[in-house]
Amino acid sequence: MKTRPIVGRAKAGNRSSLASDEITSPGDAVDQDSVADQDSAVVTIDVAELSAEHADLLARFTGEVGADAVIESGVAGRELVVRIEPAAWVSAALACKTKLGFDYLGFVAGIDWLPTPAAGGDDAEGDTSAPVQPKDMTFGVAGSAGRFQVFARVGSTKVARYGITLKADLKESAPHIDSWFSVYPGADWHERECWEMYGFIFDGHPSLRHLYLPHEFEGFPLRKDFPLLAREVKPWPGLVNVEAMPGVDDEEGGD
Amino acid sequence: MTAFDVDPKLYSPLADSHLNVELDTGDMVLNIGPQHPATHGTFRLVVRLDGERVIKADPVIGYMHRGYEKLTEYRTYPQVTTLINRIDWLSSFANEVPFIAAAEQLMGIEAPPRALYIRTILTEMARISTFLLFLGEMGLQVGAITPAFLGFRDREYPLNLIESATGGRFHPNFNRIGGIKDDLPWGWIAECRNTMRKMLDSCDIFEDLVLGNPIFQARTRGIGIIPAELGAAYGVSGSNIRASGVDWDLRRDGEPLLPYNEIDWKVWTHQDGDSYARYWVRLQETRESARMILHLLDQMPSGPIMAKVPRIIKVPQGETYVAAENPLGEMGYYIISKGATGPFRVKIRTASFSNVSIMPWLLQGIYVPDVITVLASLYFILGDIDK
Amino acid sequence: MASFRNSIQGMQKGLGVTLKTMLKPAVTVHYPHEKEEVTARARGVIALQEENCTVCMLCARSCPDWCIYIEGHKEKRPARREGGRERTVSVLDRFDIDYALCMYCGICVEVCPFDALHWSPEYEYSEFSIASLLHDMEKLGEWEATVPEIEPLELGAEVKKAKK
Repeated sequence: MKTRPIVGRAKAGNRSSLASDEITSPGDAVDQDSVADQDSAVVTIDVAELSAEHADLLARFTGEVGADAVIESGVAGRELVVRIEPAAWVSAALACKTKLGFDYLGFVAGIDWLPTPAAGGDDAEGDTSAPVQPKDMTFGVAGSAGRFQVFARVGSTKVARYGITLKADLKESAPHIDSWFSVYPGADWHERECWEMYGFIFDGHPSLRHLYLPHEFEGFPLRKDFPLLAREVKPWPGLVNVEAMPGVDDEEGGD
Repeated sequence: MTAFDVDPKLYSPLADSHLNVELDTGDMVLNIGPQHPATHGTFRLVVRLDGERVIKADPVIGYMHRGYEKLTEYRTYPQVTTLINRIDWLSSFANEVPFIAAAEQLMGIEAPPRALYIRTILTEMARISTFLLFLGEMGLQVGAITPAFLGFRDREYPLNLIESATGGRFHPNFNRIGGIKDDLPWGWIAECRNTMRKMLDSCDIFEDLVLGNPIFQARTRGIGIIPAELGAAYGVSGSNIRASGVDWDLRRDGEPLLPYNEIDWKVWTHQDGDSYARYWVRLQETRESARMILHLLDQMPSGPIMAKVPRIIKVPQGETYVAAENPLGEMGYYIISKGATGPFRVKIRTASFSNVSIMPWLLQGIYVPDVITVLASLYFILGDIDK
Repeated sequence: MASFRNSIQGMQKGLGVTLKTMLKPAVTVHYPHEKEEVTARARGVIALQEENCTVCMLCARSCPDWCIYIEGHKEKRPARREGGRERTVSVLDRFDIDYALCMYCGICVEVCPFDALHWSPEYEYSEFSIASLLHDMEKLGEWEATVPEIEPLELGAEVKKAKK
């Protein structure tokens, strides 16, 4: 994959309400000159170098949260992914927001690592429309201890041009985790959504009510074992439906 | 006992009851929506009022929840593209770009420059058409009908261009993994230049007609102020947070998905954070987008529009998060792939969802008529909230 | 007083725009009487060229909405050349598209290996009930006449080799 240079913004001090920093292509000499004239530093980072920056961020994160809270880390795209102890879920958010400058809440969501059941593939009754996913449970970046995981992304409007994704494992029998509501008030709706879709319980959330679904809805739709009824009430029209000729074996003729 | 406290015995019981009847200001619950013209769809807002003032507002969403995150798990990547068109239906093209970019990133494919340019142009055109609707409709919410007609008329021009290039007026489904479906038709670029000049003119009209209007200013200035820090903590993004003085635009600061760094443009911010500022920022961004398109057309590279892509698209195992600056804010896809033809899990981070989640806080203490202007100025699309 | 004058000015401005627009020709089209021009690429309806279809089911399989229903049977055909073997071909019995479900994504048109499906900009096929939006082979075949020619591409587009 070709690495494309990323051009960062100029120093924050140069900002005014109406004028903004110019974005320039580093390959374009003319543009670079014009930027130099405006006396604003252009930071150029290569994607390959980004890992060093990630390492630095991870070190700072570990320093704030504590080494025993960090289980595993990895990189997904440009994002740093860190799996932390569920007990440190809120303190990690607090550290991100107050110490590391991640003031912006991206999302809070859940993952169910259970392999996609039957639907799709050759096992399904003729229906090969759904993509065939691996049958064994594998985990993504930064791993997982079991089936359920909650993951959340925080970003920054100021310091970094990428975010940090935090993951925490939940017990399958009792998926409890502390709420981020006190740190990021925007987590309110995200946690309500996550609760109704996965059944994760966010302790300390002011009102864990249904957000999208009707109040009497039962079940957790985004769990992998919850069937998609639209795909089950109707037979798949993609089955080969060509009547063979009587008495002739199904062999293509031709010249 | 203060000087203002009067012995109740001084009043006759009758007068007292009379007083009680007159000053009975018990809370009233007002239900706005789910079918209300100001809510762009089926959005319900339950507000508790003390007289004309809102004490508590509780948005009720989900009337249009279609469960896209579940549906994506049953579809292949090209099929998902048609689905995510419908998340934010006013700027469908902009929805496709981050998803396709995320899949390309996992596959290690890079689209050719001409394809990226066409993507950028169409994304900006989606932004113009979305914002023109806002510019007109925001006028309507404060009682002016003329801007609404103007907005709807002018919005047709970019939509026509999108249709003639992609075939779909609202749901282009034009992006493919590795490029775009087709090249532009003959005469499109010249037509596009004319249209963009028209757009610049129409921005001037809006600036003159709406922004300069004293009634509009009286209805929007100082109302619905989002503080920058709180907005960020709520996840408010896009023009809404830029109107609060945060100089942050994913086109410039995010992942370089599209060649925005090859052209000269500006990120507009406003310090006030009120409804007026949000209108002002969107107006400037519309203008800026039109200028960007003119720039892009000048520098349009020639060449192929599709990279080499395998016939059956299988995305290797991996995870990535790609976000782009949608007209409404940060639109991101966290894709978890397990090497199949379809994604294992897609977390769709939509802009309006977070933008609207600040509403309970934002609507506290404002007057009922301003509820509508604040709603309109936040500018959300129901499909973008409900997914 | 100043604000009153401002309001009057604002009103004048608005009325000025109204007046200006009044003198211009209308941009709206009175639909049933005059029809709007549709671009050649517009995805209006899917037309079927029946002879090209080999009942391979690719379109029905790749349809995200499961809205294409195909049935067929096999038939003997005489050999193309003298002395050649008799051919067995698949003949289409049923090709229905449920336009109540269709999302107009165009995946079926793209995956068709034999160019049997085409986009037509035709859009006047509304019905009074949802069930009658299921259109059969004959109807889809009629639309084939409305399929436009392929347009030339813009400057700078890559010249494609002739289609096989």
